[in-house]
Amino acid sequence: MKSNIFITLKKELRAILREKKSLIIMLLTPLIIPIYFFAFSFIFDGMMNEEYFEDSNTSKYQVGINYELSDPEKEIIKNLNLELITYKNKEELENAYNNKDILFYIIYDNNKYTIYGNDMSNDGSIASTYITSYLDSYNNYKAQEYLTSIGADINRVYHSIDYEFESVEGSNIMMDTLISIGFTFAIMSICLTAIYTTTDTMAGEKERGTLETFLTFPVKSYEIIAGKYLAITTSCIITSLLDIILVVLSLSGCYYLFDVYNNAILNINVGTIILAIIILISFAIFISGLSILISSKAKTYKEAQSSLTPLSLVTIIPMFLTTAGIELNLGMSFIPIVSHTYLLQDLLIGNSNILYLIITFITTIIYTILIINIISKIYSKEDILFQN
Amino acid sequence: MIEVKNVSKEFTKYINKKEKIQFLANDDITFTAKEGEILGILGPNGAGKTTLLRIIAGIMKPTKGNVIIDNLSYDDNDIKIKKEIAFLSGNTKLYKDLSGYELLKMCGEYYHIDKNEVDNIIDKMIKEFKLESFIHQRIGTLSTGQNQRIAIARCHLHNPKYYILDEATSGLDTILSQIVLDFIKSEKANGKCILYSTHYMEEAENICDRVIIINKGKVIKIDSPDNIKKETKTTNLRDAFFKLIGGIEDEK
Repeated sequence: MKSNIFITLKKELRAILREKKSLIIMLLTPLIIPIYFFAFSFIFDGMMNEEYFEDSNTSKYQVGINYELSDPEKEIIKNLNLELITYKNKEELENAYNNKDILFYIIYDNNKYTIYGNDMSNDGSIASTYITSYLDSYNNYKAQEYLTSIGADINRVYHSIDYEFESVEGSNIMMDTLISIGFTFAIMSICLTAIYTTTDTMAGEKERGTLETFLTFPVKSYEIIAGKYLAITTSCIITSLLDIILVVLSLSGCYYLFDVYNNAILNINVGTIILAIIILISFAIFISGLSILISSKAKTYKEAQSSLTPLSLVTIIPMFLTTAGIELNLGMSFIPIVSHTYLLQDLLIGNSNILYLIITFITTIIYTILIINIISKIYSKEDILFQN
Repeated sequence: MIEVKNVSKEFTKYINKKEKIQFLANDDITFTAKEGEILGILGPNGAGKTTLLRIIAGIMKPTKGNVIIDNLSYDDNDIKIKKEIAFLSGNTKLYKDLSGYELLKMCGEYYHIDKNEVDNIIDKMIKEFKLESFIHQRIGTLSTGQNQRIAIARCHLHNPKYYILDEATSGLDTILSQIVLDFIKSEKANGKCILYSTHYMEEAENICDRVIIINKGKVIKIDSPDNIKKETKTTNLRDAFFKLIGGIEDEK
């Protein structure tokens, strides 16, 4: 014999799957994730690789000068991403700059190099670093030449200490931001599914006038609520699974296609995927209950949607926190939505904290039990069921 | 047998969301209804008929008093009682996304009727209520009459002992009303107890064995239509009704 909860779950799921709006929200909102990842990875990648080179035949930053390069200068320039082009005078340099033939120009006069150009632009800031490097190197060369002429020990002067950079994979701020926003979309899509299915399942039943029929069936009110809650949660879990599939596929694709992910760790494996699914399901369980609770007093679709809309806005908060450079801490792990988004992000960049993970799971379960308890009490009240 | 004992129902009404007023929708109502009886419940709008029927159907709880059905109380036997009751209201809507067949199947599941038995019952009802041509169509696409026939079939599916019908013919045309009235009569003949609230006095006079007249939450009269007419010295139930509730002016 089927339980009344199961019969109600089946009834509600059938209604959700036959309601176009709920179905669209449930299945189509996750599609924003791959669109977002590919679009923003492409944009960020473009910013990194500099649009300056797109219209140029060279892969070097072109800088105008009003002097001839010496041999030592030519040697220095070889190792830098610069191409120095000699022009006759200042006017020619200015014209070339205004025509965007060159990114900067350097005027040499009376042993002084004056650099003209916009070092605040993306390209300018990188090119100015190369110019500074070129002039510093040349300055060092001249100093060494002088020190050699007076018989000083150059190694002692210039190599008192030794250092080198070794590139190691690790945090990549652009990738962290992309993943954070990506998971914000995932959490938001689950939230939207919860909002639409709750609106239809709870307030819709009141507005359509079918609740009265339902209450005459030999069913306990907690069985009705449990069945409805499980139907909403199931819808959210379907969205969650779509979300995680799309996040993993999109991120894996972007990781290999775009330079923006260079040197970044992308921690995608069976373990992290399973853990991410568990985090999303725990969020789905929580948000379904919260949506029912928030909309409990609504007697129409409109009222339910008005009361639930702020919930979708709350999901943006973690994105702002990440952008502001705030990392997940002990206090934040007690706050659902925020902790869920952070945990997902940290999981994929290999930065998970097991303590925060456990706290989030335990608090989510506690909050959900509390919410379901309140809901079952609220929905046995006649003023909630028959507000007319 | 349905026994309604000293049932009162108090509601809180808010005026402009600030002023709170307590009022009694039902005030100390007592009566019984037996198997094979059609008991009409008459009263003007706002008299408390719907609230009373909802309490009897177990949808609402009384503030005072109780409802005993077959010697069982809702306090500890609500599921048992609900299995013996069918509730049909003029305002009751069916699930528009389901087909009539799916709705009846679902009801069968809620009443825990054996799967094969449900199919047999549905087959019988398809013939009895002439549902063949639209039983597999979504309810949302059906006409009012087809809806009502599905609604009656839903009530009949679990073979209840008691029918609680709240203005079940309201808004229906003569033909559709007759379908409902024929159904009520046939169920009475099967020994079922029917509580029937209506605004249509002629209807009540024709089919009810007894009527309860309620006004402002209180029972004014319980008797057979003939006795009420005799007592009020009127020739029809409509005139008797107005006489008992104090006339149209008083009602206004």
